[in-house]
Parts: sequence; C-alpha cells; structure tokens
Amino acid sequence: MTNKTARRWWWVHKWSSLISTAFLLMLCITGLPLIFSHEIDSLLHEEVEPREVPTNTPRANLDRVLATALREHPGKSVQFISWDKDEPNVVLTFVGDSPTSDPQKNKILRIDAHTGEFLDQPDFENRLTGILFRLHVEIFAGLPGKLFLGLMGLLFVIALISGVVVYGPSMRKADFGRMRSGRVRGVRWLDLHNLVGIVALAWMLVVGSTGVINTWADLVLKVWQMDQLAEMLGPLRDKPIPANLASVDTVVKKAQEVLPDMKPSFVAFPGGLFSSPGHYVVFMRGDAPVTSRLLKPVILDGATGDFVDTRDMPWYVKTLLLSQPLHFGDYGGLPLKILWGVLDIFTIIVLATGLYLWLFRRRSPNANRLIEALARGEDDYSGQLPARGAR
Amino acid sequence: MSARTGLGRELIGSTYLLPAIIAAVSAGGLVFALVGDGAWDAASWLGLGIPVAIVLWCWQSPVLSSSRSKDVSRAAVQHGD
Repeated sequence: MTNKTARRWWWVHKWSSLISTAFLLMLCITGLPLIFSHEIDSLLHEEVEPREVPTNTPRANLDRVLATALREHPGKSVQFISWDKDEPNVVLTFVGDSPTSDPQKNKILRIDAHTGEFLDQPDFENRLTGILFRLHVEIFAGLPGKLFLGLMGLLFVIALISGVVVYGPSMRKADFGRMRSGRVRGVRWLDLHNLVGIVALAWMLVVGSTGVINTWADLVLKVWQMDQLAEMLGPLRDKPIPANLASVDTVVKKAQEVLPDMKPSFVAFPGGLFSSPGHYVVFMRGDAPVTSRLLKPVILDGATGDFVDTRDMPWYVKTLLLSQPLHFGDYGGLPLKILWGVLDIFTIIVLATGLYLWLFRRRSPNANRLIEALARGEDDYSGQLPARGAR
Repeated sequence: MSARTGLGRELIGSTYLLPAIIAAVSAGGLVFALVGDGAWDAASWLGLGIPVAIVLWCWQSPVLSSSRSKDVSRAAVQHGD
C-alpha cells in the first residue's frame, strides 16, 4: 500500500468512527440489557401464569379468545394475535382503536390458550426494557430516528472495514495480540484497540450490518405489501374491510390445512400493517431455528375465510427475518446471550479506546507523531516519544 | 519468507492470517445455532467463545507478549530491511 492510499484509509477510518461513536456507544450500552430483556422482565415484573394443563389438552377456540379481548376493550378492534415460542400456553392479542389505527398504540393482552380467559395486560411500553428498546431502536424519534441510527450503523460498518485495512500496516512488524506495557499510555490503548477490534471483527460486522437492515423493517414490509401481497391478491386488493369478519378460528384452521407441516406464528387481521383491507394473512412458521424465523404468509378472504394464495417470502423479507436473530443473539440459549453480552462489551472497549486515541493525539502534537509512526508500523519511535509524565 | 513486499508480507505473513482464521471461526459460531438446536448450539458457543478467550488471554499477559513482540519485530527489521 502506498503512503497516499494508507492516508486515505486513515482518513476514512477516523471520520466514519468519529461521527458514529457517540451513537454507537449509546447502542451498545442500551443493547447490553436488551440481550437479556426476557430475563430482566421476568425478574422485574409479575405475570399471571396460564393454567397448568395436561399435554394434548385442546386449545380454546380462537373466536373465544377474540371475544375475551373485546370484552376487556369493548368497541375496539383486534389487529393481530400471535403466539410466543417461549410461552406456548399464552395467546397474545393486540387491540387497537380501529383496524387501521397506529399499531404502536395497541394494547397487548395475554390470554390463556386453553381456557380462553384473560390473564393480564402488561404495559410493555413503559417497562425498563420497553424504554431502552425505544431508545435503542429509534432514539424516541419514530421512523426518522430509526433511519438515522441505520445511517450511523452504516458508518460503523465502514469504520470496521477501513479499520481492517489500516490494521495491516499498523501491525506489520508486530506479533498478533501484542500488548505493550510500561510505555506511553497511548501505546497501550492502541494495542488494546487493535487486538479487540480485530478479534471481535466478524461479530461486530454481522451485528452491525443486521442492525442496519432492521432499521429498514417498516420500509421492507411496505414494499412487500405493494409488491408480493398485491400480486397475490390481484384485482381483490381493493376490497374494503368487511363489515362482518370471517371466524378467525376457521381462518387459522384453513391455513393449517394448506401448510400442515407448519404452525401459526401470528395472524394479521384485515386492514392492518401486515395484511390488506379485505384479507386475513396468517403467517406460518417451521420448527427449526431458521425455519421458525422464515415466516410463510397464507392469504384468506376477510369475509368468507376462503383460501386465496400462499407463497414463500421474497428475498428482501427473508433477509430481514434472518437479520433479526443475528442481531438479537436469541437463537442459541443463555450461553449465546452471555457471549453476545461479552462481545458487546468488547465493542464498547473498541469504541472507547478509539475515542481516547483521537483525544490523545489532539492534546499532544508529539503523541500525534508517535501514533502515526506506530500506525505505519515503525517500531523505532524513540526520538518521537514525549517524556513520560510530560503531559 | 520470500515475499518481501508489504502486501505479500501482510497476506502470507502473520498479519492477516490469524485474524482471518478467527473471523472464520466466529462466522461459524454465528451460523451454527441458526441451523439446529442441541449440538449446533454448543458449536456456536465454541465458535464465539474462542475469540472471547483469545482477547482475555492476550489481555492478561501483556508483559509476556510485549517482550516477545519486541524480539520478533527487531528480528523482522534485521531480516527484512
């Protein structure tokens, strides 16, 4: 690499890092507890447990589940029902003011999957994890906040790639993992920055880029509605929301007949974010870690419950669905979550040492020359050292 | 080591070799648990546990790697330049 190209990569590394560091630090710090949000929630919040039943107990009719939800909120509309893999005996019911109201304002009711009785209505939004989640995902600024954080994530990915490029010259004459001690403090920070940065690289790249993809979730779903869903519905797409909805229990049973090897993951009622005005969409999942994420939509008529169509999701929705576990780290049990947490702390170390190195260089022109010499891989920098304690 | 140019050294020499191996092991760790449960999960723990262990190991032995790297780099300077 010529000196000129090296300098260019340095410039890219410096600025992509500097601009994104503050936001990345926020993302890492809020992300750390979010890895364990399930555990934190069950520690901080009491939940009404569903009734213990023998296996093979038949599940409650979903129309009864729906009636229970609407008894709690008369005159409102159920927008979604969903099943949590970790809580198979509970049906989550999402109730909005109308079929088309903002889904973020939905009330979430837990209903016993076997008795069809109301359990509780946790205030997920205002829990510690809910507040951290909104800060982490959208800095309390809705879609613009999301897209802005996505941009910061993109800069982070650029900083990682340029970091790899400048790692080479910087470590040209050094052993891997060298940690010099007893010299200028900046040297130690540089060694730590290089070591942790290069070792955690693959994880940071994957979690960083899947985070960026997740910020586009709303847009991806809009595109899917206009693209594949519209194509499946054809001329039916302009049908209005039916006055009398088909029985949700029948709809889900029909979807299961169409895809007998899959299980329902969630149901989008006509008019909502994941459906069309005239149709139900039942999203079916498989059982393996990958197939449980790759949902397959079954479209059914909103008034009659008749089957309309089912197709595999297009590549861009699949990419989004697979990006989720790879960002959350929730697909390999508690040990994977703990590793996720440690690697998150490593990322904080890379960010903090990088920031420190920049401040250190600014404060002392000597240090600036020293770090540059080190970065070029020149080990013999004794003439450029500021005297110890001079700062 | 015959490659004397900077690029050659970086690729064939040790600078990027170990990082590339670590990245490949981590990538395996990221993917395995997606494929299945049980043994697949354990393979993931191993794949991501290795980079974590490497950082902790290098971190807690700074003096050792410091003196070693100095010797190696001195030798490299004498040989290469």
